[in-house]
Amino acid sequence: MTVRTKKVAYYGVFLGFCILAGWLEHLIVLPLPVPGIKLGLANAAILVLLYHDGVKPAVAVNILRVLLVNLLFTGISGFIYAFFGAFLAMAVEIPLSRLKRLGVAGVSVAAASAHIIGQLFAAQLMTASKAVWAYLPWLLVTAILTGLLTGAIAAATLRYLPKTKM
Amino acid sequence: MIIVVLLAAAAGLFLLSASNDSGTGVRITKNGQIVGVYPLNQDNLIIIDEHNSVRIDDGKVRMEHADCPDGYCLKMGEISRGSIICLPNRVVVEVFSAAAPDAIAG
Repeated sequence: MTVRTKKVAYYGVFLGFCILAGWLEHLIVLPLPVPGIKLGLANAAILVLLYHDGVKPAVAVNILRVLLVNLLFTGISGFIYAFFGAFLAMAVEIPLSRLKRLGVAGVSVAAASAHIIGQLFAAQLMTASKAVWAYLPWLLVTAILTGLLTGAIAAATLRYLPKTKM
Repeated sequence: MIIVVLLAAAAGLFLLSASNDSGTGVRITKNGQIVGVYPLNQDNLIIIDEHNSVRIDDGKVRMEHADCPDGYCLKMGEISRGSIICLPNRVVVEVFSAAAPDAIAG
């Protein structure tokens, strides 16, 4: 098996997980008063890639999964929110992942917070109203919780992955 | 990190509750364009379009009808402060107070 085939298979697993997570989250909407809360499980896969294989694979898979999941399940308007959220999350987690002191969980919480802020920004753009920011405190709380969850998943996965980079 | 975000959330909540006095008026916008501004103490039914309509009743405002897929705006119920947002249809129903300047400027 060539290195290239291995890479395709390896990254394919991550992308497949992201799409599966996106599909599940699309089906199961949490009954919370604040709209659009998702678990963000796919971000666990992105974090694993970031820590294990570096920036390029993480960004590549992230772009692909935002495109695919929204094409498949949400549509164009969903894509706009996902794009802003994922973009800001990446902008935050890539530099922060260099700080060992934060740990995977800390970076995950920061990324989740950046994600919801990006989505609120998109919501402000779509409604042309700053009223959407009223949701910020509640969304930050859920960002902490979901960030911890995905961070735990990512940390556990990283522990079991062989240390060698792909 | 968690403490930082928690503090930010707490600060945000505090700011929100401090600035949102019970309102005197309702501002409705669709796609960023003002549909109308109405007094909160006057019962009214505002049909924005075939997708959304808003009712002002007994000093409170609610989304009377919405055809959005998630229906969060309908679940908001009646409010006398804050806002109801129908994100898919880009409708914002804001309660504002004429006395105090809005901390969340529209």
